[in-house]
Amino acid sequence: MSQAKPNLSLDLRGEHCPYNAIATLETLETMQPGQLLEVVTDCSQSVHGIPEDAKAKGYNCLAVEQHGPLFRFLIEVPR
Amino acid sequence: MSVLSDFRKRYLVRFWSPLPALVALGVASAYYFAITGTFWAVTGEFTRWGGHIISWFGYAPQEWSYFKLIGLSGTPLDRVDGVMIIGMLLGALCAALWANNVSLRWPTSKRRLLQGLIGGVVAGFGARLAMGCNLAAFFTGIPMFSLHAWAFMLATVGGAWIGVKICLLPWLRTPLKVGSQASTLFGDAEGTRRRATVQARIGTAVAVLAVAFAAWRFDASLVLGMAVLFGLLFGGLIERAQICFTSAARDLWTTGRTRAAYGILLGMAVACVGTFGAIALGASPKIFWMGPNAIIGGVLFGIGIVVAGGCETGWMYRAMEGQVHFWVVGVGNVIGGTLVAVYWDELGTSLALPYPKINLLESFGPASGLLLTFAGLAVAMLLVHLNARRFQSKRSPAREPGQTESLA
Repeated sequence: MSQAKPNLSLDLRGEHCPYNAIATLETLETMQPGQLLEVVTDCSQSVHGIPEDAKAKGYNCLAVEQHGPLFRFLIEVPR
Repeated sequence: MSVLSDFRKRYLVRFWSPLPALVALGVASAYYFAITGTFWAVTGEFTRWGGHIISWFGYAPQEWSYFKLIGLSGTPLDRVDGVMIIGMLLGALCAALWANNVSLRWPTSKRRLLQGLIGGVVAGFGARLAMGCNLAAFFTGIPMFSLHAWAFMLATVGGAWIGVKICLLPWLRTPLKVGSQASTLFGDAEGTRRRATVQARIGTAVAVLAVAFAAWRFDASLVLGMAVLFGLLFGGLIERAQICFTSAARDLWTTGRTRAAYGILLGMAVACVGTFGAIALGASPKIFWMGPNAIIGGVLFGIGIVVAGGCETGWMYRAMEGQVHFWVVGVGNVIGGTLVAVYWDELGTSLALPYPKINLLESFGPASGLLLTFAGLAVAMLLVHLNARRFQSKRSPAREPGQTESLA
């Protein structure tokens, strides 16, 4: 598990697609360059969706972790 | 032991890439057609479940024209589609358990459940109106060389656009839970490991049960037994790779995702090679009416799957993972499909039956029909690629995403 300290943490448990990907991108929009966002979901589909969308929008997806039925992402706004 | 746990992490926990999984599904679906004589399909059987329920209330649905069309004899255990679906559910459950990924997940609000039910009904209705869902009128319909599947696929993408507009309405958005501290949900790594051990054991028990079920059906007939095995493979694969047809259609409009769409198109291309061979050897393809039913059904299906958040195959594995929302979507699908059966006399005679069943291999000749199908799939891939460019940001292209880390 990545120990880097996020600036913001988004809890999307219970939300299904497309809401979790859209909420992630909307939150990233509000953040400053260099800041780190942690996203927590319980929707397995997001393991493919969130990194693909974040990357396509130019963000750096630093970690995708599976913790049983919970999924954790660390996404950085590029400097 | 470490080799075993390495294997588990690499193949049973970490999700598989959708693209090769979809190609494998395309190959498997062609074999399934050659062996069972029917295509990989689920909604027809969901509608038969609705028929059985209706018959408990004293009606005689076996006399209805729609059930005469799709058949309603025996129980799910005697039908190829029925045992295949049971296989799919067991396969998906097993795959999810081995990944420590089964957990009761509750939706964020009751509104979401209602959204799932309505979306499920609309998707089920649209699918049965067009005589198939993302499978029979799409993924396994196009490799039957039935023109109606092309109409359904394009209409589904159109309907998905409307679905996206509905989904993003303000009253369907829930407030975001944002904190400034790292989540505290991940402190108990030891607990996660213990949970994984328990789930792996249950998963093995489910696998044993599934094999016993297959053996029992092999005893009845070779085709039923094979249908169970294919169901296990289909269900396991869609869960492991998180195959989502809804995402492929919807995210052309939301974020321009391409991977699932490429995978589906490639999967259909390889399936075409197999089904073409089976048809050349004498199997009869399933061709349906190229009428307004395919287009209207596709639009409704597109709207329904996006609003519900998953299609007919999508809800099956998500329901097995314990996502309560998708139990409701499944119920909605059965209701929607059954509604088509109830109103088929009016719907069929006006929207489907008067129209021709167009088989591309007969209309254009086998070689040209096959080439035309490949050309169509190639054009579709190009369109997906061009569409993605609409969403590229002005930011410099990002580096590759970080390595997936599996701690389950």
